[in-house]
Amino acid sequence: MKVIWDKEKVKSILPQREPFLFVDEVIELEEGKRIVARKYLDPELDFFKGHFPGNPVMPGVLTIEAMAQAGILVYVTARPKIVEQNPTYYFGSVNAKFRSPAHPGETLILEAEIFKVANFGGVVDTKARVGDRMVAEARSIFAIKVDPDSNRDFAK
Amino acid sequence: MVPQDLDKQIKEIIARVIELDAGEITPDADFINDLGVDSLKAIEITGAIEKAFRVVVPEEKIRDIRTLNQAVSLTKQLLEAKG
Repeated sequence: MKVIWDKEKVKSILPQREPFLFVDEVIELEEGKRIVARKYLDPELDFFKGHFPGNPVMPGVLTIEAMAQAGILVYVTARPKIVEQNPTYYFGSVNAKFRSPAHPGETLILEAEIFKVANFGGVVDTKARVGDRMVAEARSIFAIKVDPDSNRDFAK
Repeated sequence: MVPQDLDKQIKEIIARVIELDAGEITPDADFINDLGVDSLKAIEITGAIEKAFRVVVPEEKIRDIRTLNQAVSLTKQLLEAKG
């Protein structure tokens, strides 16, 4: 499947970094509407050791984080200039349902669709699945604050 | 065309979004100060109204939607402008 935004492009938008970066690349993109991204769940990821020993599954809270990061990416397709303003993204609320677990070695597919965006925040609906199997669905609402004096460089 | 029960429809939309009983949403109750709703919910309310009535709310108006009356008034204006 063709990669539209590779990891370097994703990192130029998302402020998160390893071990808290939960999007590898974007494979489908409709500007201002929808993206499909993916995250390979490497069996060596630390959280699998404790969640749970002998029965590793992706924690729900991290699935939500992955969906939120996909939400930021689709938001940026609607507001591309926001990235230049060194934004900080804050969760407002999330309404999530968990359908099935994701396991090490699987690839999480994150489909994020814009419900409504504004310059100060957005509402995004995201589905996380492994193949055709639904893992989780969530509506995320987030705020965006820009700090033109920030010296953070998200490209690093 | 403006539905005759626009007030009722908007109230139900808002009640669903902010997860309150419709009866608690009085016409001039401020969402944030009176109903304890997060200010970001205005974005979700706006999106729900847009989809229900096929209108587009100008971004600069989103934060003005603080009460049921304001939501109804704005929606009515947009529907009338649509014709």
